[in-house]
Formats: sequence, C-alpha cells, structure tokens
Amino acid sequence: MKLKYKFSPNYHDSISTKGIMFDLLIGLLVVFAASDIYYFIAYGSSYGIRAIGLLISSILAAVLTEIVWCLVLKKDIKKYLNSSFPWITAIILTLTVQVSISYYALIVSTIIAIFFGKLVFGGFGQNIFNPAAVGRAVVASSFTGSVVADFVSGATPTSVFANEGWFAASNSAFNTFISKFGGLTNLFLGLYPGAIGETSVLVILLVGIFLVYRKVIDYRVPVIYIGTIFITTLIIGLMNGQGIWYPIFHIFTGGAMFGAIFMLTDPVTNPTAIPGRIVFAMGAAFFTVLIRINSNLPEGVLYSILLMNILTPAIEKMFDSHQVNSEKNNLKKVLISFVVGLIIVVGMTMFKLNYKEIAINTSALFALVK
Amino acid sequence: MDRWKNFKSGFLDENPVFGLYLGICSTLAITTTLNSALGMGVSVIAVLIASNVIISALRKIIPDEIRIPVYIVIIASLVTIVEMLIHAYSPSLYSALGSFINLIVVNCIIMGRAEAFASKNSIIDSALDGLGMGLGYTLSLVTMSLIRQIIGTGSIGLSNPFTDDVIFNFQIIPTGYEISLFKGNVGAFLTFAILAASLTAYKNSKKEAKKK
Amino acid sequence: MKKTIYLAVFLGVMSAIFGGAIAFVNDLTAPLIAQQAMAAESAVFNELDPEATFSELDISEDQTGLIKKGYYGESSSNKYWIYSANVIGFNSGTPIDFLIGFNQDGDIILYNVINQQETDGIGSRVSTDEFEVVNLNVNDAITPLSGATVSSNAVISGINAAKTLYSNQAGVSVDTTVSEPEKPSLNLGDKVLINDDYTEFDAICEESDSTDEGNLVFKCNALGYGLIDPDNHSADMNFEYTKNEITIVVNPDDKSVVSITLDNFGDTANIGDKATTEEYFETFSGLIYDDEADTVTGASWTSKSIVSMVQAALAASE
Repeated sequence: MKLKYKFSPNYHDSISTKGIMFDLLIGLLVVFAASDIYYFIAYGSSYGIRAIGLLISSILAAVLTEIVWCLVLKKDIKKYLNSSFPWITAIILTLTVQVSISYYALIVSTIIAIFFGKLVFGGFGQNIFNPAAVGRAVVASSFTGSVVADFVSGATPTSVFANEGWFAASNSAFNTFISKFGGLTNLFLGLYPGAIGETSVLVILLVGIFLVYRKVIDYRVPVIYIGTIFITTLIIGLMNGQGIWYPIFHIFTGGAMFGAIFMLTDPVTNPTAIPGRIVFAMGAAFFTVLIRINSNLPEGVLYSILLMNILTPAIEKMFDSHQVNSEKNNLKKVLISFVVGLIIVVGMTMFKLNYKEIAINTSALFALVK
Repeated sequence: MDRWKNFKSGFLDENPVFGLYLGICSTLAITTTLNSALGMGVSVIAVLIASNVIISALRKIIPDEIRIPVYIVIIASLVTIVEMLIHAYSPSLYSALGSFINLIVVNCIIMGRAEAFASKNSIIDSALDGLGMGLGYTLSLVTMSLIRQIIGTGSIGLSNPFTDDVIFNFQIIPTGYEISLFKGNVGAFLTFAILAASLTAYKNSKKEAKKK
Repeated sequence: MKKTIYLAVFLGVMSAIFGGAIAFVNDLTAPLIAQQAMAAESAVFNELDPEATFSELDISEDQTGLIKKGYYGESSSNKYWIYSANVIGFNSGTPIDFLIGFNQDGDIILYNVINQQETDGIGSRVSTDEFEVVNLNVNDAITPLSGATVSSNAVISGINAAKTLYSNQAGVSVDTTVSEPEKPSLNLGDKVLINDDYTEFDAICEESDSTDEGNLVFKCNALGYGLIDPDNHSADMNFEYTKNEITIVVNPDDKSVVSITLDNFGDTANIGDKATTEEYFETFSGLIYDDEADTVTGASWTSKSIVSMVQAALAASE
C-alpha cells in the first residue's frame, strides 16, 4: 500500500462530514439490527426489546446532555446538534455493552462519555479520546456489577478463555471449549452471547466493506490492526504450541473486529498522516494482545484504543515533516516500529506469571507495609 | 495591607487548591471521605499558622542566605510534631491519612506563604494570612470530598477522630446507584477539573463585570 | 569566612532547638502509640490469660510473607507464642486477618479471626467453631471445611507459616509432613434404597468379557443431571453434558458390589463430580440389591445416577 499523502486541499472533498456521519449511522444501525434479530430469535422478545430500549435511552441521554450544554453556553441547539452527532457515540457505546446492563449504568456512562469525553474538550472534532471508549471504560470500572439478573446471557468466550490463561492445554482441549460456543464458524457468524453489537464478525465485516467503499473510513487502520493481531498471536501461538485456530480466535472475539471498524477509524482521534495511522493501528494491536495475555483484564481492545488515543499527538509529531519528500523515511519509521513492537510484545508474553500468584504476593506485601 | 481583604483572598480569588494549584497531590488522595478531608485541613491550618507565626517572629534575625533551609527545619519539625500527636490521639485519622501527613512538609502552600508573606509581615498579619489560606484549603478539600463521597459511595458521614464516635451518617443515594468511579483516582481528577474550571469561570465573569 | 561560620552556627542552633522540641513531643506520645499498636490484640490476650505479659516478637524469619506480627507472652505457669497472619481466601479483595497462638507444649490455644469478608455462610465459616483448630496439637493436620476449601486452605497455609515460625522460635520440633492440608472429606447426605425406581436415569449395564478374579464386570452408563435437565436450564447451558459411565465389579456369589471405577463423568464440573470420588465409590463396597446407599450432599442427582447403575448391575447379576 502507498504511504503517500493525499495532496491538499482536502477541504473540497467530494463527501462532507454530514454525509460521512450519515453513512456511519446506517452502518451502525445495520449491525444493531442484525444483533437484535439474533436476540429475538435466540433469547426471546424480552431481550430484543430490552436492547432497543437501551439504545433509545442512550441516544436520548447523549442528545439531552448536549442540549443542556448548548443552553448553558447559549448556543443554537439545532445547529450544534447537527454538527456534533451525539447519537453516533451513543450507538457505538450501546453496541459495546452487554444486554444485561442496567439502564442507570448506561445512561450515566453515556452522559460522562459525552460530557468528559467530548464537550469539555471543545465539542466534535476537538476531543482527544474516542468518547464511546471513554463511556465503555466508565462501565468497566464502575458498573460491572450493575446488571439486571433476568437478562444474563452467559459467559463470553473471551472471559472463559482468559480464565484458562489465554492458552489451551491442547488442540483437542480447545475444540471442546470452542464447541460449547458452536465452533469457530459460530464465532464468525456471531450466534453466541457477548456484547450487543460485537459478536458477529460477518455482519461487521460486511458493513466495514460498505463503509470503505463509501470512503467513510480509511481501510488501512482496520486491515493493519487485524493483520498485526493475527501475526503477533500467530507467533505467540506457535511458540506456545497452539494451532492455527489461535490467531483466528483472537481476531474473531472480544470486539476486535468491532473496535477495528468503528472505533479505531474515528478520524478525530487517530493521526492524520497515513504512516501515522499505520503506526497507530499497529500500536493498538500490540496493546490489545499484551493486555489480553499478560494482564488480569479479560479484554484488551478497549484500553488499547484509549492508550493509542493518548499517543496520537506523539505519532503526529513523528511524521510531521515535508509530506512529499520523506516517503522512504516514513517507511523506515513504520517498519522499525513494527519490529520493535513485535519483539517487545512477544517477549513480554513469555514472562507471564500466573496472575493468582501475583495477587497473593502483593497483598501479603501490603499487609506488611501497613 | 488590608487585613480583611487578604484574609478573604485565601478563600476564592487566591484559593490555594483551585486557584493557585498548590498542594494538589494530597487533595486528590485525601478527599475520599469527609473525615479525612477535615482532618487534613485542620492539620494544615495548624502547621500553617504555627509556621507563619514562628517565621514572622524570627524574620529579623534569620540571615537571608540560609532562609530556605531554616524554613524547612521549622516546617519539618512542626509537621513531625503534628504527626506524632495525630498518631497518639487519633489512630483512625492517622491510618486514613497515612503518609500524606508527612507530605504536608512539601505542601507548597506552607513554604509559599512563608516565603511570600510571613518573612515580610508582622506576627498578627502572618497568623491571619495562615488562617485564611488554611481555611481556603480546608474549604476546597471539604467541597471535593463532599462531591466525591456523595456520588461515589452514596452516603455522607462524620465521626469524632478522637473517639471514633459517629456524629452523623446518612445515605443520600440508594446503594446500587452510586458511581464508584468517583471514589477512585479518576473521579478525583474529574471533580478537581470541574471545580477548578468553575472557579476560573467565576473569576472571568467577575472580570467581565468589572470591565463593564 | 566569618559570615559562613555565623550562618552555619545559626542553622545548627535552629536545628538543635527544633530537634529538642520534636524529642519532647516524642516522649509525650511514644507510649500512647505503642499502646495502640497492641490495643486490638491485647483485648484478646487478656481474655486468653490475664496474668501473662506480652511483648513483640521478631518475625523477619518468615519466608511466606503471610505473618504480620508475632507476640511472646509469659506468665508464671505458661508461655505463649502468638502470630497475626494475613491470607487471601476466596475474596481476593480483603484478606483474612487472624491470630493463631501456641503454648509451650505445642497445643493451639488461640485461633481468632479478626477480620474477614468471605462469602456469608460459605467461607465465613472459618470464623466459627465448625472450623476445628483450637486444642489441636501443632503436629495435627487441620481439616479444611467442605464447601469452603479455598478459604479454609488459605487459613491453613497461614497457620502452617505460623507453625514454622513457632518451631524455630519456641524450639519445639514440628513434623512438617503433616502440614499439608488434607483433601476435603466426603459430605454424605440422605441414604436411598438401591432397589428404588430410577427409570428416569435410563441406566444400561453390559456385562463385559473381561473377568476380575472370577467376579462379574459390568460397563454401565446412565443419564445424569445435565441430560435429564430437571430444572430446564437448556436455554443457558453452554456445556455439553454426556452420560455418566462407570465400571462395576460384582461378586457373583453374594451379589454384592466389589468395586466401582469411573470411566466418564458427564455432569457439572465442581458440583456433580463429588459423587464420583474414590471415597464415595468405596461406600458401595459390599452392598447388595436390597441395601441402602449413600448420596453426596449437593450432588444428589449424580449420586442417584451412580446408584441407578449399581441397581442395574446388581439386577443383571441375579
């Protein structure tokens, strides 16, 4: 792929922000609809209706937050909303939570996502962090227990696998494990419990292709992200005696596809330079794999997105030069980043300690220090 | 200098925490409960007044070249004494504040006021300045801890540090609806940002009003 | 030069004055502080032996990191070694904080849980008398509580760390081989008749050709909890249940069970498999068709699945 830039002026592009956002909205609603249909069929109408209810309450909360903001700052509400698109954040956030979440948790997280994730930075286009990721982080840190018992849909593949330490004892052990969820094909189709919108790789891929065709998202980011995860986990898998299913499992689960298509591609929070975006996607992939394998958290996609958002200004600086002349230089920087990142991540996964052991030792340590 | 104006400035205009951004480290860590916030605030007031008075009393004989080391000796001794007293008479407060009592030594408010005010003014003025700044600091801590405790745990309570008797304790937000984010470090930063921004907005609006 | 000397002297005098002030306050407060440190424990010590005086022990030899503090107490007739331990049980957020004390004969004279946040009714039983610790000797093994093995084994590991320290500090030799926590014992529930109606388990036994010293060998299988699905969990079952399979050896002379071995366990892991342990199978030894069999508490469906197969085997050998 080319590392060249798009020559300015980019302002007179054939598509406008409004057009991009509208296509994105359609794409997200398609993912939601596919997911909701699955819930109706597999779990019953109460689940399907609840998902719709969650979506509506999140959108309302997001829009109301922005309306209040406009009122306080005395701005024109209609104009502001039309250029701020709070519903996109709300839909993405709803798609990343489980259907068993309580309304209160989702609404509070949406408000915090919109307010602290977007508005205080100056509104649309000025935010550092992906607002939906901020909202999801709030859910993960404060509201994991805030679920409604009637709608529990079962353990997700990532959490079960994470409990085993992210490595299966043998190929057949993995087969028994994955057959409980319907096999790898089922993971591809998305017919298993998980977050509302993250499960169906097939639907997300189709929507992703549509969005690339409509020039809504840059194809490089998701391709590099998924590709880097694949290569890294392939190497790690081979080093630990896992089969070819290991990297496939990594890219099919845990919202990696969803994050790749809908969250990492947010043009506000990723670098503008094309080699910058490539490094951004690679970094996110390395963080995802590292957090999944080495840490206590069951899922790494969310925090890898937020961490790379922090590094975006630094990446911009790295590629901030005469755009036309430094193509070779940029290629060198990208390759070096890839190799260094790969070595670090693969190296660190070799030193993974049993996390239960660490928990006991550190607590004993704190007991002494008290 | 107008004593009253100076005393007042420690509360809002030159609020040490949200206006001058001094002593933030302990603010973020201590303000999880009202008890710790008050305990820390009172300790800081005590140290501030005592150090201001002593430094002001000795200001004519402290040689200029070594004034900073001398200030440090005085402040560090005062903080050590306060720490020992807290440990002996209020063990619950001691375990709540932990190592942040010792960090009062490097709390920039104390050194800052010693250098900027106490070394140049009379004892009474310095004492009042210490009280004003200390009260402003305590007010900021109490405000933050009220917000964080109510949103983060849903309840608000106060207990006597010397005897551990509960003075009052009631639940405002029902359990299950609190946002535990605010109990932790993230919530501390968010609350701090909101309060600092509000203070700046207030000061700006006052400036606008004055211009008109 | 003179100026420098003056500055140095001034600083020295300042430090001396304020150092003196600190020392003065320290003398005032140090006894109060030392008292507090032992406040929580001294209440317990007083109850144990009001006549004994206690002082702190050095516990730096402890390699496990589980022992927080040690105390040595002495009265006219007794000597005590008491340790305060912090272990992580089932609740990884809050450690279990307890005191364990030995006397000069190696008897455990004190076991007191100061703080724990384990699951109510399960792990919290480590604070109750049900958990037998007191009055055991240091060389006795401590039995973990069934159903609360994580919490009890955590406490046992803390007690073992204390035992190691005690043996070093009191000079009493401890037989460390006994210190391994025992496997949880069998928790038997109601008895059931072997000749009862177990048709729903659909037990099938095939006599196998292999003989075992003249005994009959049957390969049996039956439905268990998962496949019968009495509570209708099929919607949220993520596991694939299979039939339970066992091999039963029957004595053809008196038609009694000789032994049972497990071939396949198809029910819920960590729940039903308590009824497939060797200890449980041993309870069937010598039973005949009209006898009563034991079942395991909390695994009654799997137990009955086993009993149904025993019935089928015994019936087939008539």
